[in-house]
Amino acid sequence: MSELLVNTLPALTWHRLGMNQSRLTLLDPNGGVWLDADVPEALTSADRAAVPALESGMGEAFSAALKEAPLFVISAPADTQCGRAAVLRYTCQEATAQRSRLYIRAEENAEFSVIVVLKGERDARGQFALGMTLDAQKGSRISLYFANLLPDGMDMAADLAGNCAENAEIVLTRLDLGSKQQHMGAAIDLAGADSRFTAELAYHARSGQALDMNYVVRHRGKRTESLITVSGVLEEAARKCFRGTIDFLNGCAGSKGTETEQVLLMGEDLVNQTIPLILCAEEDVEGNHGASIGQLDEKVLFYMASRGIGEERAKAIMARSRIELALNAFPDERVRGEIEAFLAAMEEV
Amino acid sequence: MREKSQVDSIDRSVYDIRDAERDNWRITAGLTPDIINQISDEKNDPDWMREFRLQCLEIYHRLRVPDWGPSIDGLDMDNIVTYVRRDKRMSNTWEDVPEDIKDTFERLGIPQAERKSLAGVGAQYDSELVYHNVKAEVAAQGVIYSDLESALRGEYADMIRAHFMKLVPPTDHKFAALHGAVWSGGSFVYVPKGVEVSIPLQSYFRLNAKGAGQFEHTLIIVDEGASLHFIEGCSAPKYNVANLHAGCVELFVEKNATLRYSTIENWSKNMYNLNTKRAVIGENARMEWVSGSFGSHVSYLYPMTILKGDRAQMEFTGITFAGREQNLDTGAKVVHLGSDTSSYIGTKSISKDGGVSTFRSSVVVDQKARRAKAAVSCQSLMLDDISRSDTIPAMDIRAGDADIGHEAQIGRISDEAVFYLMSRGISEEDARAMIVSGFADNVSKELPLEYAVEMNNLIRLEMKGSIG
Repeated sequence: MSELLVNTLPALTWHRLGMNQSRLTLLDPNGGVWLDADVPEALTSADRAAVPALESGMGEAFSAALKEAPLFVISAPADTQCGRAAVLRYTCQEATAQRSRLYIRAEENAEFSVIVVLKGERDARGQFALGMTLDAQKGSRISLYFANLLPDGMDMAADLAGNCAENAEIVLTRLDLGSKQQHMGAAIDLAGADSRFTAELAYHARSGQALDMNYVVRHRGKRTESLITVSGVLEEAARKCFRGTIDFLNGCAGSKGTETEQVLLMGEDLVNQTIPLILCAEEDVEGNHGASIGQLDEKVLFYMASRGIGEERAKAIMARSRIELALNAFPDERVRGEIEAFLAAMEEV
Repeated sequence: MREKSQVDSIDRSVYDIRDAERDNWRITAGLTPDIINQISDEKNDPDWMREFRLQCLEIYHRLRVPDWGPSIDGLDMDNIVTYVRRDKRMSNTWEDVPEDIKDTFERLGIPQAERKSLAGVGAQYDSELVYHNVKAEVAAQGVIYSDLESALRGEYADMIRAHFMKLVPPTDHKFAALHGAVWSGGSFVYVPKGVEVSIPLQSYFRLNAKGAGQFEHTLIIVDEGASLHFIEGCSAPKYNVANLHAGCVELFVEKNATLRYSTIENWSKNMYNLNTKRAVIGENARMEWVSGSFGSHVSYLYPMTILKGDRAQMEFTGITFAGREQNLDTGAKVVHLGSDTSSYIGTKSISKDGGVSTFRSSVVVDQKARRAKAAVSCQSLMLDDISRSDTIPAMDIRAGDADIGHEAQIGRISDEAVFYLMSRGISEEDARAMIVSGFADNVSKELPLEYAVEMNNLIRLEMKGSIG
């Protein structure tokens, strides 16, 4: 077992707020996760590759802890256009303590999608730590869809490091619904000119769940663009800390970065921490951030009531609307069905 | 003699006047219990204050320098003189102020402002107030405006003991502890229940001594249903060694009261400005901060408001202009404790010539604060690509019925706007200065006219030579 400091803000602030970083107790690995990989023929998969060392959202200590973890590699040769998404299902069993790595590489002008689903048997207990590296080479596009459907007994730590070369793009869609404790991080380096990063992040945290996130975009190349959209629901006794950083490095002239967050508060005894950073060392840029944190508008509830929809049902509809966009983006019907089933089971509870 | 009240004659030399350090008494540089005891002797402190100072010194040595803001490595506390005073003591008449000090303050426009638009003035020079006066009609309303040391030994001694460093405890941070150990000068204001002071009071702080620190303490109590506008100004000549300002402002705004606290900070660019300001606001009361930060080499400045009473309100309007050799870390903090409280933080920042400007804020909504509303808006302007501008706003919301909004933008001066003004016969330099002044409009429109003019002059001064 090791204690790590993870999700450190790129620029620190007052320590007493408790947002500068978080602590993660990483269990010693003993296995317990099955990987079911469905990879289209147009892509190649392997369990060995030289993974580039990139800055990650959770930080160096986490990357170092996963250095020797089992690796799965998906890559697309140059000019590959793959219409069907690769689907990776990590299924956790009882008494899991697993560390894994995933390396996704797109060579020049390749375009493809990868779906990662974390699931667990109902009585699964333990922790799953996953380190992902995305390497988008010139003119390529990687779309990564990530769904956390782990049961309450499983803690999750999922980290991401990404690099975009000239005119390359990474699109990240995340849906975080499961796990008692979740640590998540992502750092994307928009190194090449005209490269882009788009993230659609959605979560629904219920009673006792705790989410800790750190997203960082480094605008290095000229005319790079980033758009991070976060939409979430916090219910009674849930906790969430969102750190989001847009970093305009000197030389990234013509770049634009936008970050928006909407949090729906539903209940009491909850903690919502938000710290959106814009760091800027370049004149010719546009950076924007907007956040809106609050409960359901009474006018919306009144409107719904006038249509015969009771308060509880109205709240459920509005909570669902916060994650709907991310859910519908998943390009695989079976995976969407699995997410729907997980949501239905959560609502029953 | 150049005076700052003339718009077309403004230049930095007005602020850079250095008086020869004649007849000064300086304490030995450094921080030891012996030095603290000497300051206590000098000030004829009551016993509790002497003990408090010594406790603060211990806390100071225990606490660490913050690791999250601009570097203060250039500040060597062993070389900072914490107490400097003239042999002549404070006066209530302008004629009795030493001639060279009087000249300096006259060039800064203090006596003129007092005559024209102020209800009272306090002028601090290095560690001590040299002049303090309040208009007879304001005094007749029962308003107390005096130097803090006199108040500490007079009729209001118990009130001061009950409030002094209660809002900013010395354990708050290293430089609050330093302030507690070596504080000197500053003002005490008490506005009695129901009294509305219709024209502002002002304190002006001037640090002339090379390598010295200024540690004035401002304590203001606005009693139930009363209202006050307090203005604070500061400046210093530039030296090639570090100077330090670690003042402390504690504001108590009682039920149904209103306080506006305006500051135009224009310390010289060798100054480390590590200042602490905090207000606690009672039921139905209102706090307004207006803050312009233009000077200092390094600044750490985040006025904090505690909305303790139900329906308490706070509004913070600020602007920061960071030019060459400046790293200004500014912003605001608010804590919502009462129900139906509301706060608004609106700031602008400008970075130029390699200057670094950081907006830092925190909005905390306590679990017990029902229906709290808060909004934060920060806009940053980058004037070249050798400068830096960072935005670090934190929100910690623990009540389910809170309503919180935040927006931030960063960008540059639009070429179209400059082109439009130039097509109307305005030079590029003036066009850019005009746009920056317009950007700063949120603060200037909140200041009394004289101060808005001073602020716009400072912007014009900073923008000089911005082209080519």
